[in-house]
Amino acid sequence: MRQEFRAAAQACSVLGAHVRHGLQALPGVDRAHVRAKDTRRLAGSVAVEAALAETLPNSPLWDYGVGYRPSDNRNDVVHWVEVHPATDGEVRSVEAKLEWLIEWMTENAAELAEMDRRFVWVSSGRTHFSPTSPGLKRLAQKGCRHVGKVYTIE
Amino acid sequence: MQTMRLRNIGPIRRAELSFGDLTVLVGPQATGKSIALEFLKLLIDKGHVHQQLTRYGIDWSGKVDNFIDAYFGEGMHAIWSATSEIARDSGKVTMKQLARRGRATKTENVFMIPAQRVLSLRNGWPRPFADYAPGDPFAVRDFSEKLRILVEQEFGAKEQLFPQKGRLKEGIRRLLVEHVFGGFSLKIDKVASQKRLVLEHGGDPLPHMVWSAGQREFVPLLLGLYWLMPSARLSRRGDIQWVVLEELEMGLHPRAISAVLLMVLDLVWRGYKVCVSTHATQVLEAVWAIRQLQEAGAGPRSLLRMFNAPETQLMQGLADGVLNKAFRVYYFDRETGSTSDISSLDPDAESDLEARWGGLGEFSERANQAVADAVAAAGCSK
Repeated sequence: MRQEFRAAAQACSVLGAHVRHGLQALPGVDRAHVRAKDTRRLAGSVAVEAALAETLPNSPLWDYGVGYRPSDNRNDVVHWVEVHPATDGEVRSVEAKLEWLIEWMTENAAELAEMDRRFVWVSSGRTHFSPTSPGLKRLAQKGCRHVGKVYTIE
Repeated sequence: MQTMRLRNIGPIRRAELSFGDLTVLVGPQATGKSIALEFLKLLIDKGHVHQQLTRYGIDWSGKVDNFIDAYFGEGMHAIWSATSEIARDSGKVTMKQLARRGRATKTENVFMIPAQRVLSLRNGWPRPFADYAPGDPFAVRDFSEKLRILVEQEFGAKEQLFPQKGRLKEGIRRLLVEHVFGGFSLKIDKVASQKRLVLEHGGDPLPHMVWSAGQREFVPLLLGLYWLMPSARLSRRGDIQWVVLEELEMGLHPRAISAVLLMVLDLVWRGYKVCVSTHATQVLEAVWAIRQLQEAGAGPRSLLRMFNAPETQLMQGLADGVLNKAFRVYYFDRETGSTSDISSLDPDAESDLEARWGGLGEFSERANQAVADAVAAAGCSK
């Protein structure tokens, strides 16, 4: 059966009520950092941090999950997007968020955890590291890449 | 000269360069970077070029094709066509003007260290101008001749060339000892009355043929830089105002490149206008970082830390001066034959060329993407 982002996110008791159409889960300031190559393929979005801020105030919460139906119409892919300041000093902080997300998803959102995924870090302001930064290599080894100021989902 | 414009010359359709204190040219092979740099020298030093060619018996009879072959190298006349144009600040200059014999002069304002510098030593000694084939490029012949004059006239018969007190800043010498020479010294030696350059460690001379590839590349570069930095007290040599250095990274380990970059910054600090061409990401990384430090109002120590250089008073003075200089970067595009100003090297730039540093940052980014996506997929719990 085809894996759908919307159904998987709604199956999670904590995230279910926060699922929105298109990129509507992202507030305007962050939405400016995320685009879709074909907006008709967007399968919805969810603001993880907003959904969990009250119950887990001290956890390094990840920002958003965005579902996208690939051009081969197979399973949706979840693009986990963190909009965050881009300096070498923040690599550790994004790493901590990534570790938290993967662990939390495994325990609390099993259907989302099973889906194809990308983890991306989008600069919230100016990017202050070069493409060859060892911090970015370390992050890539953990499954997350930095994409600059704007991420285009495709 | 502040600007240079080239049209329809070899692979160049349209190149517009506005020079900074350090100008870096990047782009794929055979896109016209060397042609642009050689034109820079010709535009400024026409009288000197004519004087040298004439002195060594080269007669182009005022003909444009012959002159282009004599200056750029055999067969290069094909780069020039009826639609070719060249201009500097003050306006267009015709190739006829450049080829026409004018006042020959010894005055030289541009010192060029060519990419073929490894050819300038034979059997461990700099080759004279006349030792080359008639069709060899002027840049390599002229550079080689200068090295010959330097080692024959400025150093004694048994002298140690490197390390040498008073030549180069101590902080830079230390980096070169560690990262280029590995404890060896560079000396003038004699075998059966024939002088030669040797590397020496523990008393045994090592001739040119057994040097590492990097050392063979670096020694001509070092001698060229000695020419430009006559002593720690004299900041510049003669009338030289410009330095052109092609592919500074050739044959060198990244740590050695870092030391050479620091020497390039020393040239900038001394007031030379420096133009380099490069295929090394490290060079753009340095320019990007310096621009970031400038914007952040950082002090000289930040710059020295980047190069792992000692924070002596002299080195701090160098770094402080460099942080007040202007840096420009141009990309030579193969597809369009034109140049793009990518000086900001801003990873967030709208232009892909600028954000990806004219392709030099591209591989690193793709490697990160391939690894990140593979790791993310492998971690799915399905």
